[in-house]
Amino acid sequence: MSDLIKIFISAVLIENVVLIRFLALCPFIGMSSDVKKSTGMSGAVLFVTVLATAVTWPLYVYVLAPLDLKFLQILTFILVIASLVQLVEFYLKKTAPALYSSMGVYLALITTNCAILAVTFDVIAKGYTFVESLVYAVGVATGFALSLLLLAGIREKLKIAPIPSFLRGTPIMFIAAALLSMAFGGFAGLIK
Amino acid sequence: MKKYLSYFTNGILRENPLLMLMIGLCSALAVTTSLANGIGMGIAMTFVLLMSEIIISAFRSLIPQSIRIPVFIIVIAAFTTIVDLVMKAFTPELSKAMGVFIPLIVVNCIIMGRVESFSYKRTITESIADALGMGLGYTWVLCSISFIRELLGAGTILGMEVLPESIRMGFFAQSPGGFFVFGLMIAVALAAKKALERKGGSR
Amino acid sequence: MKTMLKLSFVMGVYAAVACLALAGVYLLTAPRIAAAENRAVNETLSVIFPDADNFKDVSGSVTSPGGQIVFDGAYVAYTGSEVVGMVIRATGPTYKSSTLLVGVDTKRTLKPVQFMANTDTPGLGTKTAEPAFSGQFTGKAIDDAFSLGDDLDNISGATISSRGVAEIVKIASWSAGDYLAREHGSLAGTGDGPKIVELAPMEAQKALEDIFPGSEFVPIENLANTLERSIVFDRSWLVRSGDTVVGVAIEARGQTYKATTAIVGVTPDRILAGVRITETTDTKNYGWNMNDPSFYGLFTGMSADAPFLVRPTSADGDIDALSGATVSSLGFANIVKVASLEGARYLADNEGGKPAPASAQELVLNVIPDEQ
Repeated sequence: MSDLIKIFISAVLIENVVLIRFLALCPFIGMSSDVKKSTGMSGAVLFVTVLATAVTWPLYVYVLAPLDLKFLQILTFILVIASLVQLVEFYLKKTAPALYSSMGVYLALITTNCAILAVTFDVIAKGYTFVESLVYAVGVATGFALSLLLLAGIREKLKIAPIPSFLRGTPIMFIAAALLSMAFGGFAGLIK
Repeated sequence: MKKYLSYFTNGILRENPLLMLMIGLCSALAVTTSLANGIGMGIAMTFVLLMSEIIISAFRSLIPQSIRIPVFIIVIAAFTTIVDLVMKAFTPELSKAMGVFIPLIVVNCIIMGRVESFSYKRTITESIADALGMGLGYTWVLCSISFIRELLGAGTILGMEVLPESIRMGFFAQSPGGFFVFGLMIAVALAAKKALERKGGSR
Repeated sequence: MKTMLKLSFVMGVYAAVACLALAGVYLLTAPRIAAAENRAVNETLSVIFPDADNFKDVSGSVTSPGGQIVFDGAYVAYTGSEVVGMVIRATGPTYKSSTLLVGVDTKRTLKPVQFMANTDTPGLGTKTAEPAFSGQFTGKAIDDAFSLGDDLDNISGATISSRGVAEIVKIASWSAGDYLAREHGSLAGTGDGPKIVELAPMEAQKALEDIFPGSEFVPIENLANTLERSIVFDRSWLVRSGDTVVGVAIEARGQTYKATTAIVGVTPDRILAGVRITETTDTKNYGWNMNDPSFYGLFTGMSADAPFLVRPTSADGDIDALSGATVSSLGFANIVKVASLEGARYLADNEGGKPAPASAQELVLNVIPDEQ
């Protein structure tokens, strides 16, 4: 149990997917302007990440590895993720059309979310068991949500802050992200 | 000929994928801790982009609209895998240093974006020009970031010690430094863009 | 429907072409990739056998010895076609964990030990990787005792790390020497090699028989604990051999680092017949080591009226704390003390056992510090 907790905390804080590992930056920059959009995106990412891990892990362990087909990992994993996103889109369109239309093109862009593919690769590289992989996936998605919401909050403040003109807009956002990243760097010694 | 040149230079500055379009960022910040990594990633990404654009453009009439995205994914994933295998075979240390970011080329928004918005609708030669331009634009930004981060963070250029230990700032070698350097580069690029626009009138 | 089929077919064709292309590239690059990986492994092995030009991976033929030590790789070193030695990569418990490359030559002598990983405390446990300690193993005979204080010096302040590393080297080198002897006719050792004792608590019945061999055990219902509330007597037995009462056994449970249950046996002479641990939730490598016979054996033969105070917490105590497990030792000593006093009292009151000495003082127990 403590191993699972360590994996989770490590994924959320110490090795935060956005602020420490530089993954999922496109949605990080693109969707954090709005707290509501951020929560919607985080939820979708959590869902796809966990589902993708649940499908790709057994695919690798029980099909690709034993059949010496490891070189098909990139191809199969990304196709699984793309299909899952397609299914999510389909499902959302039918059951929550308002949310679907508000997310717009960003829903399809979840496919290219580096973090999700990275998670599926990580759990194989780290040799996690199935349960450990799922916990890791939830942790990473939570870390993503956390950083997204933090930046969204900061961006609200940035809108009314006096910022030198050459830094206005994207540059100051990245510097804010740099400061957030430094803060998260402080978690480094959290777990021995 | 001028058209091709225009497509080529487009990616280098005007529509630079990292600084202007702001796509494909993940790899740009994660692997830029050393110049060697930056160059390696730039070349790898350019290769996948070039080959994917060529193939998609060549077969664009044979790719049905409704399934074009999965087909793009298959093509891009295939070339990414080829790059991965070749790097593991011929440059194992570089491959290990870049880790999961080589497979992540497949989800690099630049490639998916250019393939969908450009090469699916254009000829092969036009696609080649675009791919090389975008690739070069990506690579030069990557090399600039990694040059700064390696110099200030580790005190080396391509592994050769240049700065004494006392001047080195670990900040640049780590995650916050990446965000910081990139943020400043965007600021400079935006300022340059504004200056050019004012000088040459609106394009 | 027809379009769906057609689309699926087109997709399938693209996918198939891609897979075939990838298979082709894979077949072309696989040998080079394997060679590159081999080279990396060979580089580390060459540090141990600089004269060897070739290493054969025999990891599949060498099984881990069990317990907590795992062999994650084994390589036979060759110069030309001649076997010059063997390297085993072993991971085992030290303060935390260490991974070592242990190399032996064909004459049952150790080559320099290489550290691959060491997660012990920086500055203390990690000193085992430094030449002052690890250098002791170079040239050492596999069949040596590997005993700290005898043929090996330990690092002061890092006893657990030192012991752990010595154990890994001892077992890995023995396995390597044994493999070389069996497979390549190298010098063979005598005897069976080091035994890996997996420390574990004992089953209650086995504990009883271990302390009082050849006796019968009659459950007692009314052996009360009037001395210390925090220690609970779960069960107790009157121990008979034929018609004679040889003692009393009490299963007592109390706080150690977490909690421990032990069976304490006392004779009518107020002497401890023995102590065995039947259950403990203390930490592996620390308090768990109370299960080592060399620890609990210390209590055998002690007087029930002894102070049972633990050094170094009590400066003039009579029991040495288990290395790295002071809190466990404090709690355990208390459990043994209370159980043996009550057992002796029961024997004095009911079975004609020796009564407590007249100068019996107030009960003084080890103080277990609060959770930090």
